[in-house]
Amino acid sequence: MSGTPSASVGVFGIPYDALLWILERWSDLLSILGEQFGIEMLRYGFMHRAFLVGILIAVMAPLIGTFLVHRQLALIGDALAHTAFAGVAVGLFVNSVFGTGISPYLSAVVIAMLAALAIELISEVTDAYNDVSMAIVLSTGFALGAVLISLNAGGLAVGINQYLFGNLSTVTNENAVLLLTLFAVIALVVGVTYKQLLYVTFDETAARVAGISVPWYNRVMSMLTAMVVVGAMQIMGVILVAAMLVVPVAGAAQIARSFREALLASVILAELAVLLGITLSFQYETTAGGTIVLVAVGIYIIAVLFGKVQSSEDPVTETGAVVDEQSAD
Amino acid sequence: MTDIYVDDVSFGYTAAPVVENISFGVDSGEYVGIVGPNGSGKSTLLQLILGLYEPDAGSIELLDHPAEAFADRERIGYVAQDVTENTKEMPITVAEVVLMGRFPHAGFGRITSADRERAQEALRTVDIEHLADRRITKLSGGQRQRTYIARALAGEAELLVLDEPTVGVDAESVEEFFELLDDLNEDGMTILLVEHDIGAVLEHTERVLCLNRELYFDGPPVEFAESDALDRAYGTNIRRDEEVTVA
Repeated sequence: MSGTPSASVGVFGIPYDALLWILERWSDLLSILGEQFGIEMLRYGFMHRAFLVGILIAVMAPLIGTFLVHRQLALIGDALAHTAFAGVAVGLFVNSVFGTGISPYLSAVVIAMLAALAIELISEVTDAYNDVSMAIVLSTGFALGAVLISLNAGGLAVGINQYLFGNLSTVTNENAVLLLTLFAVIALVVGVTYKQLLYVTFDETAARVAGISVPWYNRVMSMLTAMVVVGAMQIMGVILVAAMLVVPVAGAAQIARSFREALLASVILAELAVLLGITLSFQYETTAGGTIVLVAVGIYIIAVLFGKVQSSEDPVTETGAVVDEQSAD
Repeated sequence: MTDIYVDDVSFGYTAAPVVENISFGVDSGEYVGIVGPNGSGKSTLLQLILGLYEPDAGSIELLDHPAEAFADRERIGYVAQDVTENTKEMPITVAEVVLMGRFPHAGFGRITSADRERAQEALRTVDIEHLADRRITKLSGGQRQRTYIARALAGEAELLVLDEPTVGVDAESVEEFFELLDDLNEDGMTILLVEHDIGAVLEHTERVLCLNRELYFDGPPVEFAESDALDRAYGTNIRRDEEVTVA
């Protein structure tokens, strides 16, 4: 459970120790909170890690998802999650054949990022994103994963559920550190390229005229998506991970006016879903991914209703523009 | 000074040329309209000029640089047909869109308060300051196109390139939109306008290019109206009376 730094993360060296230190302080903090307020679930180390991972996922998934959803690329998350599953299978396969100790999540990151690049290259060559090529990548990934796992059979197949559906209790220190790393990379890249990503998302042609290399930022965006997907897979599972990229973002779009508001709102909605979902999942011993998604969908429905009420009460929309729009029609 | 110089340009997405042997120049401060039937290569020509594609033959200079290698992107403003068709649900305000005009200036740096002031000023110029905090999807077509003009102004563009900007805009707003372009041109902005409404082009521009793969006409609107270029470019079977509303 505690996870030893294997060869695969050894390359991180000192940063790994530093991140581990952050993890321990976080654990201390939650232990104190648990004792002070008598919260039972905070007595367990695995719950400390689950909450940390959940909180980070609820920031990075909607952050990336907002850019994807508003380019109608929501499906890319699903496609990459399924190729990440192939990555997990590759990692498990290599471990069992060569007796190595590679974290399946690390191999998943690598494979998903390669797949992300492949999707971008396909779409650049064929000049369009299309459902068909995305569906082909999605099913290829899942098929490859399924075949590799069945090749190994036996003990391997037993552990596969945690990758398909996610699991709170299997978040190891090593995995939490991996997630912290992914989070740092994503936050940094989005922080630096926010303007370019926003421009490309809103108006690709105008972005090109403004001198922004659209293919390059598309590649960056899909690589980031691959990272989010693998990071979130730990507790969400392959099948439901894409929901975190989409559902909070869709809810936020109902209530936000500006793009910045939308980003903030999607993170808040996702945090609510994750914290509530993990708590319910612990209380009722339900699967974490499914519980979180159901809570997220519930919040989405509330956001839709709230958005409707808001726009019907909003006096601003009853002036100028609306009149213009009617005369335009 | 020549803002745009197109020299014997041909281009096709496949082997079939979309534009062929096109040559013309646009001087600084000119207001030029490009007309032509659907599929005549008007938009393609604009994209070539903007450096989004490289010509198969010939060369294009944009503000004294080869178009495809042109780097001072903030000097060009671009307004296309209403793009919100594709981004219907995207929550973004008018102010946020206009601020994008400052992005090429800022690069990877931060947007400063001076950038915000520029954007604010641009909103004032096109007279939509009161809509700054409105979600762009809540605007009318005409208000949206003003927003895109403001984005170009915020970027301090010297050359405004418009690709059928009035599609889906109601008649009254179209008239106001062209008046705005007239004002900007008077203040020194070079304007290159692709427009399906030939009447508007004849009324507002000072020079007309008529295109259907090749260039059929290049000259003042009055001469264009009197010439047979329109018939030749469009083919004689079109109902010309409906297309041309200004004699």
